[in-house]
Amino acid sequence: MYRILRARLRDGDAEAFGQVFDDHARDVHRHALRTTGSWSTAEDVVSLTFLEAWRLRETVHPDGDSVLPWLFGIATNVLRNTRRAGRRHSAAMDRMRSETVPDFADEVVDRMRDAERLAAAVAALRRLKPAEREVFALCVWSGLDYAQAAEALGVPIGTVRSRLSRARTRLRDLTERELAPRRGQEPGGRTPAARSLQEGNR
Amino acid sequence: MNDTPRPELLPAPEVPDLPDDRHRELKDAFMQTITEVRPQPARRRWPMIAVPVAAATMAIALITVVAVNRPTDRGPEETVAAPIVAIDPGNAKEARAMFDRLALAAGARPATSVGSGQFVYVRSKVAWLVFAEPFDESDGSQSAGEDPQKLDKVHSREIWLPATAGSKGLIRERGETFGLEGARTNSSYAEMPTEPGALLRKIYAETKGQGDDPDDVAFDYIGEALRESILPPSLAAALYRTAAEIPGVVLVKDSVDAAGRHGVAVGRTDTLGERTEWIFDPQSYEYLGERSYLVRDTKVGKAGMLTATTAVLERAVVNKPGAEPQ
Repeated sequence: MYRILRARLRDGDAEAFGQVFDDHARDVHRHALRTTGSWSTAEDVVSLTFLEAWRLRETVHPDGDSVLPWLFGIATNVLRNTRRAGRRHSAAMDRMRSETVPDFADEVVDRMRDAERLAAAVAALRRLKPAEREVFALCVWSGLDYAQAAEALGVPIGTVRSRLSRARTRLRDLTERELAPRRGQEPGGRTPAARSLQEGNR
Repeated sequence: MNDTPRPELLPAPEVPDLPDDRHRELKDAFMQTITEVRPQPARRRWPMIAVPVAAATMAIALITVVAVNRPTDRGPEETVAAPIVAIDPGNAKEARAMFDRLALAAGARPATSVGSGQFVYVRSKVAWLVFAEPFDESDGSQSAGEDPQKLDKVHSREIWLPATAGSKGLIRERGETFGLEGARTNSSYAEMPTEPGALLRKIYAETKGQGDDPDDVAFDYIGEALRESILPPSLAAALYRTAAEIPGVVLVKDSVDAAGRHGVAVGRTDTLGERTEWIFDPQSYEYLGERSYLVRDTKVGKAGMLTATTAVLERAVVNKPGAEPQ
């Protein structure tokens, strides 16, 4: 079943991409929201991830199971470099934004009861090195197994294992105070890229 | 996942799902984008698009960076303050004659055959502008006014690019080896039309809607095609003749690649104020490498700031990824 889907994706079958969007857009959104803490950035990451997936459709391997690891790999790169991906797809993003109501979306997060906990989690995640953070978010927060994370990140399974172990060690080393929500801090410290994206909305 | 032996110290924060209506809107926009050819140019609505030269310079690395993962634990010792280079004004009038010479020389080289299951191996030295700490500027107020981008140290890079779709390539940089997922195949370049008019149309059609400026992305596209590939001589010649048609190309009499080799270059400055030069051996007109720098002060840096430098040292055909050429 996955073979057929993979073949259709490689062929640029729009319907197959629609199905993947339905199946996985929420997974990508949740992952992006948890790692960035910003609702509007998370939506941009969803759009950019699927545009990149379309552009890179030939890179879907003909064999394999779920395409989620492939998609998470692309999302990870988008998260690393939102601005670069944004530049490539500026025209398409332009249109997506024209259909959005950005202020409303941000308010959803601001109103969230869990906003502070999310901000604290994002802050704690940022204490990790980028490579460890990516593995941690993929494996622990998004539930990928080692093999899937290895596929998403393009690294050997042993590397996933060791990065995850280092991430856990480092988290243990963080003090209670550092992990606790920091009052007065704006929820969701944002990357410059994210900030730029949001400025672009106004 | 069966390897979560204990309660996590940092459990996944609860977040609301993307609501159905937003899901639908994002999907509609995505589906529209992939199912129609859109003729209209991008209207600039994004201030950020004008800002990141990183976008332009890192696009150099796109063949791998998009889906391969560059190592991100790069410590401060692995980047350097970007040097400032002298800005040659460039000569637009002499550009065409230079492209003609490049095309003649390229067209006269012997062809290298690349079998469908084989891999194109390219060894080079590279340094690109990178975010010093990618996706980690958690506190905007602290980094305001600081330039978060640094130049890599020049380091070695090897790539095994699949000749055709279906097999997975490899890349080795800084001693780390990665599976190559996001690359085009060598054949996706090598099989382009060799008639310059048709090639030009294909390049503009294929890059339509990407970036802010169609000429910028067309020039980048050709630069990517030349960088890590083995092309039929007729196509290489056609690429130079095609590049000659892109508005804004200039001749740069002296440039230098990442290996310190001086050569003659053709270059073009994009809308973000970054010039990219393709450098050639002054006698044989063989491709040496690339250099990019800012030609004016921008938010990324001062005029003359080096943003990329590369040098191709070897191109070969090998039978499997990871294999060194004979």
